[in-house]
Amino acid sequence: MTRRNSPVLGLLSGLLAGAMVPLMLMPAPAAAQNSTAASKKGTDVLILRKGTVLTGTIESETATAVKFTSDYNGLPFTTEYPKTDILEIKRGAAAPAGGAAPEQATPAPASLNVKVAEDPPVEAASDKTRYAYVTLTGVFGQGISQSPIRKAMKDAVSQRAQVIVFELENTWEQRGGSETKEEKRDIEARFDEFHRAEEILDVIGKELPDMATDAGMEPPRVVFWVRRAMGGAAFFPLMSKEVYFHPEGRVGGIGNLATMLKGHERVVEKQISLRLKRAVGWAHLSGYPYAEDLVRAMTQDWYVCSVKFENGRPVLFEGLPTNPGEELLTDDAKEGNRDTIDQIARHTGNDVLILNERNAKLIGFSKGTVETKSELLAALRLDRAGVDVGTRSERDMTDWRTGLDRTMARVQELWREYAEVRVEGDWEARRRARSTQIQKLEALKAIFRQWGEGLDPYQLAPLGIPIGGDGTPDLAIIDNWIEKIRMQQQLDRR
Amino acid sequence: MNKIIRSLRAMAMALAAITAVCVTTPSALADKVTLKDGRVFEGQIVREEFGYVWIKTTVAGVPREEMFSVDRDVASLERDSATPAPAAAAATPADPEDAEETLLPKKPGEVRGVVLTLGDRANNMVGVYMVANVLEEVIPLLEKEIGTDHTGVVVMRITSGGGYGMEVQKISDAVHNEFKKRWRTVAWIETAISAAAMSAHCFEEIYFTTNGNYGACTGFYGSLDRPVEGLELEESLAQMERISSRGGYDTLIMRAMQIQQPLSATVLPTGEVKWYGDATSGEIVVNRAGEILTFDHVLADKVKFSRGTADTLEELTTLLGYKEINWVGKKVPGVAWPISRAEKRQMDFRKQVKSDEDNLNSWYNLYQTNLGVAQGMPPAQRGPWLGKARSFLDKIKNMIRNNPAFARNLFGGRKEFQEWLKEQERIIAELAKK
Repeated sequence: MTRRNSPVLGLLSGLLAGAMVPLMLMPAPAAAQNSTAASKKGTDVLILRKGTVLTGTIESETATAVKFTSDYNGLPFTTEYPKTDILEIKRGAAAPAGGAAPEQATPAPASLNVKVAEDPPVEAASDKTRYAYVTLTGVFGQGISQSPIRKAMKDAVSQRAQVIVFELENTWEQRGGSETKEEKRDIEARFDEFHRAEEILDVIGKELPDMATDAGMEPPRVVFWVRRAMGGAAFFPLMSKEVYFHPEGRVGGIGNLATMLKGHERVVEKQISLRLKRAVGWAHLSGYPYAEDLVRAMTQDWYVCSVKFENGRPVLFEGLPTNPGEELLTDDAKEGNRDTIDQIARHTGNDVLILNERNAKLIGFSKGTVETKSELLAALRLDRAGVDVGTRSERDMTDWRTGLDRTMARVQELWREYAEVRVEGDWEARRRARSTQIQKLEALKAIFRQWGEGLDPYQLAPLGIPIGGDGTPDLAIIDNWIEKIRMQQQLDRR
Repeated sequence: MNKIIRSLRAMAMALAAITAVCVTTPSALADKVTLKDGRVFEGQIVREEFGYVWIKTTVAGVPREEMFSVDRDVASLERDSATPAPAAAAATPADPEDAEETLLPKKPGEVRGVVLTLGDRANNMVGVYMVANVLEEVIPLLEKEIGTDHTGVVVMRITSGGGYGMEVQKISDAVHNEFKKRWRTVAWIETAISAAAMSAHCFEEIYFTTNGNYGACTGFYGSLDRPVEGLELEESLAQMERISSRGGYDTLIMRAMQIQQPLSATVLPTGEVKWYGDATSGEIVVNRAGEILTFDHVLADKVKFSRGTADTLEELTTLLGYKEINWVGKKVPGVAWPISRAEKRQMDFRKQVKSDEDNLNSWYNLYQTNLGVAQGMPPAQRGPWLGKARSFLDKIKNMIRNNPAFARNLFGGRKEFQEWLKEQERIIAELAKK
């Protein structure tokens, strides 16, 4: 059986199409010339940890990185190297003591890779429970992303945290300008964010226990306090054994699984089935006994779900209530059962289940409702018996969010500068211009490598920055551009 | 000679591990770096260049590498006389990970096992990252690692969202005809969707993780509106009936995963499971009418499709019925099982394929671009451009060599790839001649 429309085959057809495109290089068929005057070779030396030795010039230096110009085939390039990658810097005579002046105009965003002195272990009496309090805010997949969470978890484990408390409030807004932002409606749903959620679930659900085991400790308890967990963020509390709600807390926004895919019924059913059971699988980690009913009710509008009570314990089941002691959670959303605009406006619809503090407690999913952090800590008995060892973890998340804001501005600036470069004038001017183009692209690559997962592709794509299938900047295409600029230079005649 | 020395060192380390609670590399037969601040590191000096020294040590059984400036940090440096000095800067440094690991002879009653990963979270497409040939390739390694006396256990940990149906039969054949004959071979399912589940369906023993899932095997041609239908569908159903019998599963199970076959089951008092091709006759609804079946661990347990649920190697060992299994390999932080050499090959393979896949577009474009430039040049000046074109062509060749499945996926087959390659080499040779 040959599946010719596979992604990989799509790649080949793209390649073959590319082969038909006329060569867009300089017309002059001249021999390649190595530019002896391409760059003035500096006298600084960088020895990288991987063993590479570079000779060139330190352009600038911050606390976390060194911007270094060297050359390749006579073409200068400038790259920013994180100091963690650098073994030693040997400064030449030309460089001022202490290196070049730190760059002021466009400071590099704080690097997550930079090793700074570790916080000393927080000392606490042995009878105190060590906990890390970590706030997850911002847009899901941007401010809330796997790399900073992974770092926060590592730091929590290094502080031997026994409990990790996540306060979760993701931004759930319409896309648009800053003046038009408003909260999304309940009928708008983003089950498609599940794929991204899995990358973060892996960190909390799989990597964290492994980190703890490697450190010789029991995996920490994970607690979620939900203010808002909508869209992809809804899957976090679903996998947690301990969930508390804020009085206005909501978990949902994933109710479009049955409707988001179009195609042949059998293939669509396959897609629904695998997504549903992957989500159910993560929900099983919570130990909640009705994980499948819960996930079905939250993700598919046709699923009728009610709750009954056996020996005082809530039991979810498929179907309508059969006596006054049972309560309908979701109806079939058909005809007269479809949520009305009144219900949508007041968050009282029941086509799909959106958990709030009342129904979450009713079905035994929520451990309780608390309005403030101190109430939460009291509920967890951490107010007196606990000590917060998560200062560093919390800072990891803050650094990421503030870094992202600065990074987007820097990307726009670099991209504009790249676009403004004109390759014209005499040979030397053209060489300099191409060199500048490469420098800008290399700088963008360095940023994308570090921050790409959190940058909004909907902001990047309109600029013309290539986006890969995973929603992050496609570095291979940028590499291709750089290579072509180098070739243009080699073909250029004086 | 070096191999013998390494074997002796491994043996010495193993003995030390038995007698010491907190194990560091033993001082006998070890290199030693003494720092100016008084700290002493013992182990194996693996690299020395640019005025720095790298020493591999072991702390509490966990290997780690430390690096020091000879001038700034090191007070003295003592080499074990049996250890050759590390290669100079220009030479390729020895990778300690590549060192031959010598296993001690098996003790009576000892059971050895390995975990082989078929796919990981990032790289898992069947027929690209999960292929039969790299499984078959490690059989001789496994024979060394866990023996040939049929007591060994191979756990295939599957994490794959599916891929090419063409690879299913090959993987199934490799597992059924090669692995199962040599070792107790079981599947440990994190995610086995579509072609991954079909590939795993020949295992008699399937275990799940708590978040595991298995099924959704409907075939389609890339686009959601193009299902596999007609004769091809019947062939696929028939193929999976044969594979179901290898694993000992009722054919209705896989059918429910492929074509919206309703399914229910009743577990009889004898423990036997009776399956029904509708959603009402059995006590347990396995697949509703109109849906495609994917198991989670709860449902798979309930109808005895799964032999049990395990999240750790210890839990799996117990489910397998052993008090202890010697899981062969090196413990690596962040990985829940030791990395055997056979497993390292699986990981390295996926890493290489990922790199190749990422670069393929670029290599092809640059190959074409350099070839195009050469075509526009006077013959005497084509050399450097043809050289570059050839280097990118070589990268594509190496990519296919590492993973022949690329030839099938990209070119329709090895023969087609060879024809394409021959034509490109002819073009380059022609341009070089003129």
